[in-house]
Amino acid sequence: MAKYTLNVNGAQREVEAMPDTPLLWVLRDNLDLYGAKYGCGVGVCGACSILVDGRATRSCMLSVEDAGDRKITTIEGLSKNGDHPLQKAWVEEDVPQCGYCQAGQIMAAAALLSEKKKPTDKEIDEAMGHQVCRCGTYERIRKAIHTAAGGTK
Amino acid sequence: MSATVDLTRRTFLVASAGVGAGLVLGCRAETHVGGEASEVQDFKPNAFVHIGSDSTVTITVAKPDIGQGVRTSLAMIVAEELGVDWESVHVRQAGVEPGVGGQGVGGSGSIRGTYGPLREAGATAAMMLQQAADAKWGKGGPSAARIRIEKGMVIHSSGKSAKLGDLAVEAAKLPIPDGKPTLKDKSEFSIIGKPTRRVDNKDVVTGKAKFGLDHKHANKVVATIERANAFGGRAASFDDTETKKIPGVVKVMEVGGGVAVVASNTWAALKGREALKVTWDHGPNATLSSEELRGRFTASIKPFPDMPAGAAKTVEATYELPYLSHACMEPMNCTVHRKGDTAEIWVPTQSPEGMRGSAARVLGIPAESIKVNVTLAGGGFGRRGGGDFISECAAIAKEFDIPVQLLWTRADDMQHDAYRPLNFHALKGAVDASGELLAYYHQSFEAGGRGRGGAQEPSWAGLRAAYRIPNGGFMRGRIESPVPTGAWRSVENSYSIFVMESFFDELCAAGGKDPLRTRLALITDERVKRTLEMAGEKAEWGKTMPKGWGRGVACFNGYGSAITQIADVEIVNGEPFVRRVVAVVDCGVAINPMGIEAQIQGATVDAIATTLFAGNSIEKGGVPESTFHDFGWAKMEDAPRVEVHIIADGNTPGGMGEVGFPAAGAAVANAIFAATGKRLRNLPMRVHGL
Repeated sequence: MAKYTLNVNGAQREVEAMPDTPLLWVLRDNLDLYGAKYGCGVGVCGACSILVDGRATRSCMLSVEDAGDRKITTIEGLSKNGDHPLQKAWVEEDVPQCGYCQAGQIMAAAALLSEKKKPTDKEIDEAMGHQVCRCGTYERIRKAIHTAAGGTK
Repeated sequence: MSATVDLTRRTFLVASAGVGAGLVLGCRAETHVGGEASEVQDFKPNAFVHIGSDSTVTITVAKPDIGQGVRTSLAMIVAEELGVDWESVHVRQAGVEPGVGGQGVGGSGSIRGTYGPLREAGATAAMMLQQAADAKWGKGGPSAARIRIEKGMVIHSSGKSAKLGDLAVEAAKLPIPDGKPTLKDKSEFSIIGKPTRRVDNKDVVTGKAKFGLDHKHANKVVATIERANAFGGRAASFDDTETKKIPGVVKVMEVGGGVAVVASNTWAALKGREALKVTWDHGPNATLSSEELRGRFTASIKPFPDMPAGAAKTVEATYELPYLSHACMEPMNCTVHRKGDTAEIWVPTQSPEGMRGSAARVLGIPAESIKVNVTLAGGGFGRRGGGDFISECAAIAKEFDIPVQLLWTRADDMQHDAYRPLNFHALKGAVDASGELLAYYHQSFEAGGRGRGGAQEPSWAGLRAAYRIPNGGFMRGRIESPVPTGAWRSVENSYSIFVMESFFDELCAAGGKDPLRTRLALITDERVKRTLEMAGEKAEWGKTMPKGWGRGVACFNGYGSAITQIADVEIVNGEPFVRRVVAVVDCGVAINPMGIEAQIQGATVDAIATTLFAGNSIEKGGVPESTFHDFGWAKMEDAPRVEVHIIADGNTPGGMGEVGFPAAGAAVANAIFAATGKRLRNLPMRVHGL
């Protein structure tokens, strides 16, 4: 066990964990941040996606030791009042079905929009290509990203 | 009770600041009902309606939401008859409670089974409020329009008004009226039939929504179980020396033939499990393979009857559809807290009563002494009806007096499911000299583990096809397999309709007939016929497709609804991409069109995924696939535009959770045939090719 100081959602958070603990379990078990979900544990589904220094990252694949003092943003910290354009668009387009993958979807989309203000369908397909939605909400996800980007599609 | 509740109370979901906002209804999710101090005065005419003295309207939803949207749609039904504005409604999830009827979800039955009772629950409450208003203001004006409820106020036709809570306190003193209340006429509906967003959207997009693993417990332990890979295998012995060295591991124990590692946190449990040295008894099925099961099917095929006189062309084919894991996005999990001779459980489930019963049996506690917390469920698809995981968790929880959370890893979830059965089909049909369909014979074999499926010595029975075909027969058999099976979205329809609608297309092709026009000519069900006609119009059937494109149609009638799906497929470098699907669904009464569209879109993607990519195989008696990667799933680029058209001119709502699945895969396969001339008979395409 070792002590770490993490930079999570703009705050310094002290945690004690085994060095190889995936950030996902530190967020959930130590910090009570349940927004990032366990879906596969091997980096293929994206339900645990968060932002690390602004880049979409699978929190099941990054250890607490390697996280260091990098800036970690979870769905809980994406906006103050749940009013990030993507969050608003997700509600507006009524994207969620079961809802389990959606926090990860939104975080991946947030990383995309920070790089491309108005992504095309193809760019969305590529950037979101490894975010699994078992319910098949992809069409509404695509629509919501366009809505959040202020697009007309 | 918590910040979440306070927040949802305040943040009334005014998210309608966009396109079509005027049409869309909003509402909020609620987890707990009013203060205990005011309990005496609150108006609770039945288990579904609760109006507090503070005017808060809370509607209880007794069915679990597994993504099908019942927390929204069922509440809409009650709110409609209650006559309150939807924006003011709080939705509460029931545990296991009296007076709410069966709480299980399956067979697309939630709305179908409760439409009447929920309307009556709302209408009875409305009637009592009316009686309270009559007592307060006197009877006057036309009865239907005497009071209306808006934003916590009751407004009388005379212009007088009162706080809803004040009137509710009066209504609470009245006896529950005898007999059935008067229900609204369909034409009076203002909530039912309006596209309405999910009540949980805001919580989902902010990370506040609580699924099975998301409840905070002070001082819980986490368990994970290493199981035998082969079905029927078990741990003969295990060495936990290394496991116990992992900080946080508190217990290692045998559970149901597997070995459970219990730890103070999730990672310690997973690491501890990794460090186990288990000697397996692989059991009687250790050599079983997909190939062997295939051989059992081949040996089971029965001779076909002679084709009728006039048969100019015969067609024979076999089809194979694989075992399918449910692959719920949220793997199986639950939390059980034994507290002496009572207990509390938190579980994402399709069967709240079943979970309570399973926990009660294992804990040796009466079911009534167990409090059930039904959480949101990250998908269900039939999987969460089973109680295997709660029994395991209860067995571990017996050893603790703090909450025990059981986590199935993705691999556990995929390798120890109750699968959609592997199924095989042999078909023979014929067309006459002018291409008319003359005969259709279909033998269907399921690899049955738990008695689902047909007889072991099957015989020909009448044709179970939706079409008027002069000669035909159907035979349903079973081949032996130890692989556990269970209900999987649309159950046997999920494969039998794929095969029937595909082979029907094969016969159309053999006769040189148009697949849509032939269906229209031979279909027996008028509702399906109407969806075929409308889908043909919407998709512009018959229009020439660009080179490399193909169009396919298929239809289905079940769960009280009827559907036609028309798929357009583009072949890119030999790979099919579904670009557009036109779906026309007749569901009698549409409760929430926005939810219906979601179900049809989702089921269509589900069907595309399982037709083209996903499937489980059997190796060494077990399932080798361990995650979405090797199982195969549809990605963003695989999702077409799905245009959903709803016919809702009936009086009885049909089911929506499953109807979108069965025909969609066949429409895709038929479109692939139209584009390439190649017939997809063995699924998934990723494994068997075109």
